[in-house]
Amino acid sequence: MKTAQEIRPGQVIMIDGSPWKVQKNEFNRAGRSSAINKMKLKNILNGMQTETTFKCDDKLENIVLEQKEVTYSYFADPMYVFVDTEYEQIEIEKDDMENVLEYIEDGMEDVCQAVFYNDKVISIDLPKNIVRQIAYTEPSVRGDTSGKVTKTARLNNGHELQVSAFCEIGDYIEIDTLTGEYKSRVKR
Amino acid sequence: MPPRWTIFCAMIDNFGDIGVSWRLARQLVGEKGIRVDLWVDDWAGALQFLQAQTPGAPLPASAKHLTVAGVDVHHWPQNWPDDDSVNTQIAESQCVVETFGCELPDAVKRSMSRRAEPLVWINLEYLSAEDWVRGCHGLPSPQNLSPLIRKYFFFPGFEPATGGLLRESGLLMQHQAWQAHGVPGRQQLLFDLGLASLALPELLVSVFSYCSASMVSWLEALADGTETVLCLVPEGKASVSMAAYLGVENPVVGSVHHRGVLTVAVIPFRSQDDYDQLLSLCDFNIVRGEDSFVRAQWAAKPFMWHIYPQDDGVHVGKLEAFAVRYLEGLDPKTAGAWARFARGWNLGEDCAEMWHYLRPQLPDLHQHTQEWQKKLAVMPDLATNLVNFETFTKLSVSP
Repeated sequence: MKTAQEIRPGQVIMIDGSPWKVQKNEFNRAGRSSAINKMKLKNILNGMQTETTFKCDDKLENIVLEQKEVTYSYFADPMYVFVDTEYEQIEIEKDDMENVLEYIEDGMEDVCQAVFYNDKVISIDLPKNIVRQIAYTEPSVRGDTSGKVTKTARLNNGHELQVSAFCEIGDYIEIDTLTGEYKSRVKR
Repeated sequence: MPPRWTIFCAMIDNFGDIGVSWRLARQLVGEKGIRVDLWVDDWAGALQFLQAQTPGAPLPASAKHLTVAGVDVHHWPQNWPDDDSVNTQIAESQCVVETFGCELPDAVKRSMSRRAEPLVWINLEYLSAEDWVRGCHGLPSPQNLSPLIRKYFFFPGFEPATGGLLRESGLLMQHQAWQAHGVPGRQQLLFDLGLASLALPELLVSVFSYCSASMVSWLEALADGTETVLCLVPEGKASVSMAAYLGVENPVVGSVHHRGVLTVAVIPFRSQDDYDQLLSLCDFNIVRGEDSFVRAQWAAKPFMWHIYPQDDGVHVGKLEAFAVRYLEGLDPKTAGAWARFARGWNLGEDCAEMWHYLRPQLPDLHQHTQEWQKKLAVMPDLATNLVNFETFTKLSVSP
């Protein structure tokens, strides 16, 4: 059992005997220090989608599923294609990629985890930290190397995020895929 | 047999939780013909609150069950009994409401899970003007008890896509009637409060806030002003917050304090109906939390909201979300004066100068608040929305 706030996108919870994949889990603060999780769920068996709310400390039954190492290969609308270590192709729908879509780009070499339920792939998990290149950002602010001042940067796949003001076009940066936040500039 | 609803209320602090729960219960009984059982965990607090609602009719202190204004009020004991008759009775309700996310006893949940008929279980949440509320209102919250038990989150709010605000039928006409009495109405109010010896001030103010670091600076600004001001302060956190300024350890009910042109009178905790009248007859109301905040908006007099403070500052975002909606259409000078004063007060800043900017704007703010009240009154009230929601969802769950 996990609390609603511990559940991550891609995980599967049981509701009334059916497995539901969590596609999104938003956290909102209600009054007097209470918190609410709003989840977007997809029924793994019939594809039905729904939205639900939980108190952040509501206990949910999550199930652990089979996983396999895969790497991204190509996109064939509407399917994303990955290959496993035995060069077998694994296809997954765009809807099931919602939590990682913003980090998918051609040529990426990250070793991901494909998650299966009854032999069907239901989600892809990225490593916690990944490295991406900045395709565009405004010129650096001279003199500020503290990292506290941020600016918007666009990655090669068009996704935008906040990075330190000293980052420049062509720089490689490390990103935390759980929070979606920039962590640091890295050398390559 | 009238339909039966059960409401659970955990009193965390103050009377905010029971204030909302009681108001809802009373309206469901009085206007919707529903039989309501209200379970309250802090029984001493509940008795104190209920006694204030029924002045002149002493409630038996030893009772663990009371019927007040048609509402059956019960003590919710810490160790909930595994008494099948009680749990079954609750489980047979058409609707179970947990207010503000309080946790139902496990035995009640077990009884609910054995039901053969659909049951709607509502978590009545906190009021907020934030955008995310629209997206969460009315969503299911599966609990794995039984396919017939459906739990939903129900959010009060200021927009049609939310659960609305508690508003009894006839409330707005009652405010009109109170306000139509003018000076004699205010004189009668002072008489009723035991303050008949005081002259009517140029500015009549009610102060029902939490403890605030801003209090002293604001009182000093009032005392040093050019108009006479009378602050009516229900006993509690607001009066305690004034103690140092008034030079007393604990301002007692009935005490009157003079500082410059300011008079402060500590008044007893009033019934909800009497408090509505107070809000209606004052020129400016400082309100707090949820219930008095909503009531001030129905009174349509200028007000300032002291939001429930949270350590991590989340409350400031909630205040600003409300300000965006409430101040829409108001001229920037008046809107800015209100926003600065409200923010300053909620952050515990020195509010003297902010008050000097706000005070001249009160007439415009009064007019704007009247328009705001009309805008809110177009929406169905929360109790009506809740009853409709229960009916609709039950139809959709029927086997």
